[in-house]
Amino acid sequence: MKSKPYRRRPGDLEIRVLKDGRVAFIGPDQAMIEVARDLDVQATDTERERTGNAPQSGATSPCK
Amino acid sequence: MDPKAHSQASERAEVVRDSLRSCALCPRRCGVDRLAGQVGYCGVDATVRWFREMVYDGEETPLNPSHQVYFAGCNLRCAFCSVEEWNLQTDAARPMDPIEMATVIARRRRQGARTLNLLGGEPAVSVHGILDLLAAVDVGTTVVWNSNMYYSDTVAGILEGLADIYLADLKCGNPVCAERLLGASDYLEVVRANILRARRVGDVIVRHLILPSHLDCCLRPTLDWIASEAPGAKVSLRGDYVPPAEGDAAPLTYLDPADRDRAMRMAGDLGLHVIQ
Repeated sequence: MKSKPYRRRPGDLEIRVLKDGRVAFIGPDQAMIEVARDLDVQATDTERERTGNAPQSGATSPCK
Repeated sequence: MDPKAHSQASERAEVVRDSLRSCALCPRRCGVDRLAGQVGYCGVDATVRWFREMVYDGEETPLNPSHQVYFAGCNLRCAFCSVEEWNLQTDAARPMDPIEMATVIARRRRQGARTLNLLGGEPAVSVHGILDLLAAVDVGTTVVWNSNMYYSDTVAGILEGLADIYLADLKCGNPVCAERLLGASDYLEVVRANILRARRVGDVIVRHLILPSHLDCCLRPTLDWIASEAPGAKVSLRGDYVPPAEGDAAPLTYLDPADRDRAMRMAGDLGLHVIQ
C-alpha cells in the first residue's frame, strides 16, 4: 500500500536529501539557513579530510 | 524610496483600504468586502499577515544581503509553490503591526541588510498594510518589490516612487502553461504590461525560474519577449526548481544541469543582460 506524500502545514520545516547527495532546505526560514550554513561547513570539513572535495548543500530560493 | 512618494504612503494606504470594500486589487476582481472580513481568491481579508522575516544571501547579488518579509495570501496557485501552506492557511500567519515591523526592519538594516525585500505569497494583495509599513520605515530604505506582477493598474500606480527595485517573477511563456501551472490564463498579458510599466519608474530584474521540460514552451518565449520588448533589462535565470511532492501539473523532477547550461546559452545568444 502506498501512502500519500506528507503535505506541509504552516510552521513545518522540510529538508530533502537528493539522490546525488545534496541537501535541499525547502522554503527555509532564518534558523534553517543557519543550519544549512553549519552543515555545509561541517560536511565540507569532513569531506576535505576524506577526499579534498567539498560536497554541495543549499537552500531553495523562495517562490511566490 | 522617493521622498515625495514616501510622504504620501499613508494617504495611499487609505485610498487602497477604501477600495477593499469591493476588492479589485488583482485581475481576479473578486469584489468581496475585505473590510467586512470576507476573503476572495487570495485568502486574506483586510488584516495584513506575515509569516517570516529573515536576512537572506541567496537573492540576486545586487540585493544581498536582503531582508525578506513574507506576507501571507496569494492570487496565483503555482503548482510548485514552496510556501503554499501559508497561502492556503493564511490565518496561521501573524497580523502585522507596521510600527513593530518597522522596528525589526531598522534592526536588520543595522545588522547589514542592504535591501528590504517584500514578498509572499503575493505582496500586492496586502499592499494597503505594506504602504502603512513603508510610511513607518526610513525613507532611505531600498525597497525590493518581489512579486508575481499579477495585479491591477491601481496597484501599479500606488507603488510608483515606493518600490526602488521590481524583482519581477515571469513564470510562464504561454497561456496554456500559465493556466495549468499558475491557475491564470490571463497571466502573461497582465504581467508583461506591469513589467513594462515598472521599467518606466524603477529598476527591474526579470526573474525566471527554469522549469524542467518547459524550456521550449516557457523559457524560450520568455527570453524572446525580454529581448524584443524589454531589451537591456536585467535577467535572472534561477536553476533551483524544487518539485512538489505530488501533483500532475508541475514537473516532478529537479532541473538537469545540462538544461540550466542550455538556458544560459539561449539567453547569451539573445544578448540578454543576465545577472547572478
